[in-house]
Amino acid sequence: MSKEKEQRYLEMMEAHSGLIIKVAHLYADHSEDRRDLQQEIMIQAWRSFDSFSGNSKFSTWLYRVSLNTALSYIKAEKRRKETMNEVNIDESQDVSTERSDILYAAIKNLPEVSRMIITLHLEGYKNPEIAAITGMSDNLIGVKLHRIKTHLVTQLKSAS
Amino acid sequence: MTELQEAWEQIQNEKFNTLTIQKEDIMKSIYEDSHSTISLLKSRLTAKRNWCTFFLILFIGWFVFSLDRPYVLPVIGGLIGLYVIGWFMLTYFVRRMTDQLDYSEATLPLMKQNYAAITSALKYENLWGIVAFPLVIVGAILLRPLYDGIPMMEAIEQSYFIRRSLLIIVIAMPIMYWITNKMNNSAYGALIEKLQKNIHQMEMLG
Repeated sequence: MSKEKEQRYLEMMEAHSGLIIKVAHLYADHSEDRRDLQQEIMIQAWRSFDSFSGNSKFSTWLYRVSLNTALSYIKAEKRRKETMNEVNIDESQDVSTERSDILYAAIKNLPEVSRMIITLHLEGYKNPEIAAITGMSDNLIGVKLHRIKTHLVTQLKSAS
Repeated sequence: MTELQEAWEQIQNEKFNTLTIQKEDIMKSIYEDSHSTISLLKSRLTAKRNWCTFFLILFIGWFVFSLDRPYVLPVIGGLIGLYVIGWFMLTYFVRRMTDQLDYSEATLPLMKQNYAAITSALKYENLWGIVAFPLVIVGAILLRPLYDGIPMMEAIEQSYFIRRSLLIIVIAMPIMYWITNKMNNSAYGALIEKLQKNIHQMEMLG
């Protein structure tokens, strides 16, 4: 890797750190776990940076890395917690009547893949881009998004 | 803007936008990645040293139980000597490796020091093997006549000795060399490569 590319990596990572924080919050419940997941994402991004060709946006590439890492992380954590018989306590799930808090809790309660799809959608990604990141077909993304949005709107309405 | 997007904007402002990851945090992650590699390399080198300790104890025990057969003692003593050299060599390199990385500027030299230690340890182990293995073969061939009470010089002068030693050395040395390299490659190869790559990347980061 050239020095310029390395510098670019650091700058890009710093500029897109919000994305990593977001993914960590959506996929990890405890602050310790979030830190672990953020670190894991940065390590995976560091290892895979050679594969970033520049054909897609850096944020798209970083989303793919982050979400894949988060999914692997969740699987490993689930296995670990099952073995250790740990009970999952979500620090962020306080009872709130705020619309944003209700949506946040509802998104966090979605299955992992649905969480990923709706996050990308709310971030402004188009269906083909979401399909490219998740490896699903455009049509499937469309169908799933419709279901997820309906579910979330219902949740918001029933809470208010 | 839809109801969902409005709420999402609010989530972003409240929960995410106040947090950032600094360049130092990103570099720290890379250090930690290297740290785990170094720890693994050190533990594998320590395991190698432990095997050396095991054989050393075995040979010393053999030496003690053979004190009533003075003819075989030089051969066993030679084996002990070889393994003592190997043990000290490995201990030296294990001690040179340090997995206590901090996040200061001294990290890169430490990573380089660890890389140098592990590659030197494997290089010297190879050299040790090239010297020790023929001697072990010669010793093993000598043991039988020595146990039969034939003096060492007489055993060496026997016609079959040189022929058999050379034959075994010529056949077994390349096989042993190949096996050792294969085992070292599978235990250390990928880790050393990863450490080398991390060092290179760290240098680029400046």
